[in-house]
Amino acid sequence: MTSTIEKNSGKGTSDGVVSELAAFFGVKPGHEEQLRAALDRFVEVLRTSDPAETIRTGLRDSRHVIFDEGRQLLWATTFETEWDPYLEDALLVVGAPHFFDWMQHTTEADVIVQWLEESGGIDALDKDHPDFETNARRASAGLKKIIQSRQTPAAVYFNPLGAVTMTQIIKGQLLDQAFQQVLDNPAAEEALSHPALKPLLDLASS
Amino acid sequence: MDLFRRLTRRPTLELDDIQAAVLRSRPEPYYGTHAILEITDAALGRELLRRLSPRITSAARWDEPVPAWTMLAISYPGLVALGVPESSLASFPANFRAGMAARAERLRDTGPNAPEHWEFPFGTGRAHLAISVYADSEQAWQAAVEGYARELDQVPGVRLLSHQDFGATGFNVFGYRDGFAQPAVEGSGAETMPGDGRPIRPGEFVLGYPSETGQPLPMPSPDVLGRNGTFVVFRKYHSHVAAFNRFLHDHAGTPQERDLLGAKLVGRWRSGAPLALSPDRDDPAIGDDPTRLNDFTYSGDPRGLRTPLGAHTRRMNPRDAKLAILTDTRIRRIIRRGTSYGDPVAEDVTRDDGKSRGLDFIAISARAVDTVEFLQSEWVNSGNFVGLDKEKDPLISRQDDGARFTVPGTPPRRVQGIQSFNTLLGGEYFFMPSLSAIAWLSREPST
Amino acid sequence: MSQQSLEQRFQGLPATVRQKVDAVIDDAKVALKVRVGELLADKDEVAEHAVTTAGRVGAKSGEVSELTAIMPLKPGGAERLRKFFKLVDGNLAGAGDVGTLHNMRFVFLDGDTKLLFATAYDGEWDPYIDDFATKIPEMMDHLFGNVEGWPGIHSPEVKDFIVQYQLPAEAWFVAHPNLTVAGATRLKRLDRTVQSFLTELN
Repeated sequence: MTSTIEKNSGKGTSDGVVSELAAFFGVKPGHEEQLRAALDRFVEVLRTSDPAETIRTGLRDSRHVIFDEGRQLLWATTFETEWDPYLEDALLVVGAPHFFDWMQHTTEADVIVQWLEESGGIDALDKDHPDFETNARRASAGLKKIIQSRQTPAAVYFNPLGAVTMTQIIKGQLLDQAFQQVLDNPAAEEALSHPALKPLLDLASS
Repeated sequence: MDLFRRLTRRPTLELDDIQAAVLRSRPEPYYGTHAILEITDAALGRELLRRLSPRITSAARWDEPVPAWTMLAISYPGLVALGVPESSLASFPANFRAGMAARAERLRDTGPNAPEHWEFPFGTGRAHLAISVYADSEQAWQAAVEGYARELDQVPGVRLLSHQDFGATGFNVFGYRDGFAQPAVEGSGAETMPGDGRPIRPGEFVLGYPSETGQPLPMPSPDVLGRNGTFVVFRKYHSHVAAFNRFLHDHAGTPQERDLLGAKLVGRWRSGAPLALSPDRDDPAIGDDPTRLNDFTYSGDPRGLRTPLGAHTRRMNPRDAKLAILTDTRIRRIIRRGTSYGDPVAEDVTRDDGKSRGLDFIAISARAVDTVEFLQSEWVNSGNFVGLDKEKDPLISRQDDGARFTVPGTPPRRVQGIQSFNTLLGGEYFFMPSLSAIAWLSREPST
Repeated sequence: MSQQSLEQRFQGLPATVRQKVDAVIDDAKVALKVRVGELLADKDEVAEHAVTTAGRVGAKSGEVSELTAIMPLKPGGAERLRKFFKLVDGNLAGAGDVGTLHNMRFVFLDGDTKLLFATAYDGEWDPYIDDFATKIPEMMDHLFGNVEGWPGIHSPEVKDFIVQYQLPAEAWFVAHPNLTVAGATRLKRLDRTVQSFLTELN
């Protein structure tokens, strides 16, 4: 585990390969309920998207918290990799309409609308558009700028799992499953008794 | 076997005010009854307490055998029914006030263990008083039961809701010796037994004394109500012994292998001898010797090659084992006064006879409610604290379909298809008042 | 699609799903079984991420919970905390001993008058608050003693104090909801051993 705090391009704080992002938005007066509904949709998209894609974005967790009696919104996430590819990938996985969906209920709405217009309109950034990927990559810089403008870096960020990436852990999971399969196979008993396998078996002893 | 520790030091606790159950060991064999009462009239409830109070045994000379002793505990609805003033009621912990049934989610009492399946009177809010008699002979038991029953008959306005007899030789219905691993309580005057380690601070078990934090735990007010009192968690289980035996038969070919697999689940052999001291076969000489029975640690067995990480006794008291989660095991100790009811089942019986039998889990501690809630969610119904993910306690958890138990080894063995061997029939949170608190409770509250 | 490849697709589904399908529609055409199975498998995926509550306040996805709290700081509290974080170079390794902690951050808000504390952790925090109180009381009191009204880790009010400033997340997503810190640590170790085993083998 390394815990050196370094500012990365997204102004967040990192620990090992993991970074944090905490951005604060004002909630548009009267839009609290619509915002809540949009956030539910946003997380639903994440939940139903292909895990392989989510892993690629490096996203570990994401939370939206409405506070100050419905006047403010916190978006806090933890992610691997650098800020630039992270947001680009996030845009590719979730699609701009789902970012727009909740951001339009914040005080950044005008800026978001302007960003969409400059990026060729919401349809150009929809996942169904034939040039979606090119458009989204081009548009991501604008979205980054907006979010950065609302970001407050953490004074300290700590992540005990900061030294490993999820890809490594997923690999470990697959390895563990395969290994269990071998252990559960009675036919493997004889082969497993070979002394060369002892360190492996000791580790898997429980 | 003589389960009594000797009193070798001058006690610093107010033993003559503390109830016997805190320090007095269950005899072997033992006989007894758990009775549950409802108070329908506050004044008459207080009258009953007045009449019962001389029968409640104190912990004074807890080391000397007595033919029978009686304990009394009161649930939160019981305190309300007795007319305890609001300011006192509010001083009890929130989870105690909510009651066990309301805490089902935290306790992981779901599915077949959920309160809607419980036996009467558990979870109804009507279980106000619990009276338990423990005796070393049938006659002493009957005499003590008749004693409190006479008082009950004299007092209308108090209803006997249930009356459960128990008794065993010291071996539970599964055929395993139990009830002998108890924490050493500082200030009790008890001799230290091999394996005890540093005695636990008295405030962990009796309110009003320094706890492991250095300070006394918060206690109910006024002081006369809280001091020298403690909490009791009662959980009644039905035991599926035939299913347990069948599980051993299905996964082990010979009687020796069945014995070993059973010991791997429990952490001890049938005699009580721990795997830690006798890893390959039962050793009744250890099981019969109170100086050896608990004289072991787990730090030399980090992978559970002797005692599986998930074995019942290792889960319930991890001793010095390194856990995956920051935990102070010293604040999770409980005094166990559990009892068995119904006939034991021989180990070769694999067909259920449908009879009622099981265990009454009884835990006493100044933080018993917190501790049992912790045990249920962290150590019984999860394996994460020892890196076993979702594996659960092999004896008292509620197992999901397709659950397994890991017997560490080279290679480890995954025993598939482990079921729930105990189903919860109900339970309650009780407060066990001191003798002076019983006197205080039996007086009309001044308003 | 051929019968054989349908059968392959069915076999490719998780065993639990196949069992469920077989238990009910064992006799159905394999095409139907695949359809139903894929539907159920998808649901399992959704169920794995299902959000429940983490104790009194906060959301939990699978095994991983979130705790977010914004608390008022004592005058000078932010400065004292900053100094402390600088001293330890941001390394709150003591907190790593907790063993359930995925991550935690402290963010100063509103001109250093408020503190945002956001963490992700396994299971629930309040069963372990008593362990923090006896195992790492100095750490807890040093960090949170800068918060206005902190009652001290030993106080019976400490749970209520935290809960009162806790803000439930509206949306909570965890990429690997069933991976606990203890689980990840074990996998890391397994991977390392396999690698060294393979190295020695060659």
